[in-house]
Amino acid sequence: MALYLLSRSISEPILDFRAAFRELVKGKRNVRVNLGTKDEFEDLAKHFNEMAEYIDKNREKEEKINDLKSEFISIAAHQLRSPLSGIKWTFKTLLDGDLGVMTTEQKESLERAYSVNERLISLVAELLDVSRIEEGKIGYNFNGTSLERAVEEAVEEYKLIAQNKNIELSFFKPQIALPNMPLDEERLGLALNNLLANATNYTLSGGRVSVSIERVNEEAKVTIKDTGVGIPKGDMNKIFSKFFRASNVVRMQTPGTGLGLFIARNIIEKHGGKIWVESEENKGSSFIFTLPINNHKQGFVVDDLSADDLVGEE
Amino acid sequence: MDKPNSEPVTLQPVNDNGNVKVLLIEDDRFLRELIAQKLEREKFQVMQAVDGEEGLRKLGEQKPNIVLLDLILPGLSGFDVLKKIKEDSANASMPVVILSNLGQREDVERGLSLGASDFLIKAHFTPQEIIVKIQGILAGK
Repeated sequence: MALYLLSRSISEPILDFRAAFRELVKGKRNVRVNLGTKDEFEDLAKHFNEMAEYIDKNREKEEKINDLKSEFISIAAHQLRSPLSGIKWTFKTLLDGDLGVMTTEQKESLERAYSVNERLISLVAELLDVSRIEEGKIGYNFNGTSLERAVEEAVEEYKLIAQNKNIELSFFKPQIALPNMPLDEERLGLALNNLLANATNYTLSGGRVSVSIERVNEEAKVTIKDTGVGIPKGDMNKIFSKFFRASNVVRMQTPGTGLGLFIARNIIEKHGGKIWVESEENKGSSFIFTLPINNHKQGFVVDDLSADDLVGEE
Repeated sequence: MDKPNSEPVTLQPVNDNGNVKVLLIEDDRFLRELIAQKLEREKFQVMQAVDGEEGLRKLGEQKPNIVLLDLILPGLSGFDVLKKIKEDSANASMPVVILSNLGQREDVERGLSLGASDFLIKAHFTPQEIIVKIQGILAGK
């Protein structure tokens, strides 16, 4: 009997500590151990509680910094948009000849300035998207949608761009039509747009870009394959990181923010899918993503992703 | 005979901008003047207001055919102004186009659910494109 009491007086506090550590690791706040055993365990509990308090304080601080950072980006981006609109509208007024006829040289130089300004505008839009993703505030609206139509529409938008660059852009539908799937059409469109922008940007004149959809068991698989510049081996594992641009495309002096694939990956993963790349430098790249045909998500879903999940993957 | 339930202006041909009164509610003077200039060049009648209160007053007095509304304004916000326009049965059918540099999904959804005809992000449209949107809305497209 005495032995039983002794062993309980040891195992019970240990079980309490185990439970408390579990809660703490899960990220729970105000985890404290109160034993009142007046022995070494109580002393240990005191130290545990001090540690837990310290962790709580740091977590709060981190959250506050994250909120401030996102708020800063969001305010800065909106503030930037006003002068950028002013510049855009002024350039356009001049280019339209509303303030008089310009020489060809003047017009060309203004057109260059206009396109640089357009890049700034799209950078601001992407920064806003990223700050929203990081805040974990980006809401998704999953509705029964035809993936085929969504992809076809995105491809249509790049027809002219491809044609102007002398790139052959083709689209292959699945042999058997897919059922409607729960998709956030707008966000998926953004992901497709980013992937197609890369494919057409980084494929040289005379190259090919093909987009295909096929069904693999309970998933739809979309492949965007190009005969472009490819991704250097050393850059492959960083390609979906925020602000990362492969060394070869930076050298090409092409515009880009390094945010497109980061955003695309987030969108695909929020649909319950996966995205990856197969590439060889100077031969081309294939970006492939899968989406579950029967997504468990329906209707409006608020993103529950915390900032830490993203930082951890960099 | 069927009576058209829309404003007479929707029957105007698109190029006949002269009969169209546009109320521009925008606090940024530079942007307001740029858009006003373009609208006037296209022969629209333009009324300008620097804040929501002035906008609502001019709206009551001059009955524009369409309103271009900024969201971040001193005093009443654009959302408040939109709500007031739509609550008043005298103007409830007047089309209001939000022209703002906000543009996150909640902003857009909020604007549209309050009855805005469209939500345009300033930085993403040229003055000409904004005019095409206005003409489209007035033509009932």
